[in-house]
Amino acid sequence: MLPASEHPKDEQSAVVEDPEDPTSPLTQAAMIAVNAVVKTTRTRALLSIVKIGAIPLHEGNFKNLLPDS
Amino acid sequence: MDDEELNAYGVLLELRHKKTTDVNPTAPKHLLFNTFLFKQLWYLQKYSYHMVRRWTKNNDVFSMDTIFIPVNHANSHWVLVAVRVGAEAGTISFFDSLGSRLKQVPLTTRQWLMNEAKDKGKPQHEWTIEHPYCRQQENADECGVFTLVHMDLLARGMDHMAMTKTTAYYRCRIAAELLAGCLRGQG
Repeated sequence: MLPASEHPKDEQSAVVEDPEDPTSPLTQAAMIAVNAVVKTTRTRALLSIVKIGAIPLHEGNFKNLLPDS
Repeated sequence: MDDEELNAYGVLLELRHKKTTDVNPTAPKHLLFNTFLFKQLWYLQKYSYHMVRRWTKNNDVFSMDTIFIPVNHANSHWVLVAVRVGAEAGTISFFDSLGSRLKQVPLTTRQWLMNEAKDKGKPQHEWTIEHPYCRQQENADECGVFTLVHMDLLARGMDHMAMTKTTAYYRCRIAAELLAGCLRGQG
């Protein structure tokens, strides 16, 4: 979820990034929302879930460990 | 499985061992190396004792009962070397869940032990190499699970063949133990 202050405003939603395509979904609002999702995912992958001694273990380590991964 | 997961589990084994020997100072002594010992020892596909000479400056390997060395053979397959150290002789056991009888890893380990004795001024031991029968893995990516479970069982003084449950069970257990930050049992 974006903080309220960062939510795309209505007037931003109306701005089309590609002027050649007025139906383009690449509005300012859409791009801000997509960037926020990408940013969140990257951050989560970088954060360690647990640290054993000096070794931080991340989501990927547990995906490796669990069955059918 | 990657170095991080194996080495993190190795840290948990060390912590449990410290706890066990704190409570019972006569318990068998283990020394657990991480996965980088053998990588350094076999640096650029060449035996390189000088790369690991200082790894044991605070640990006398000959005062241990068992030494555990997880090895990533050919950068593609996890195997375990467990060295039982006796007063004058010892055994180098090579555990491979693919059932190979590879010689390079145990022979390199024996050379390392001989160099250790010479470098640290200890008497040379007679080393016997053995390839105990192991339960075999049923797919291509379980070798890390076998390596960790074998280390856990041997450290607890159990037979490595006591690994009788499914690898899926052991995978979940290892993940749970890493999340909890501790291992059950003593050893």
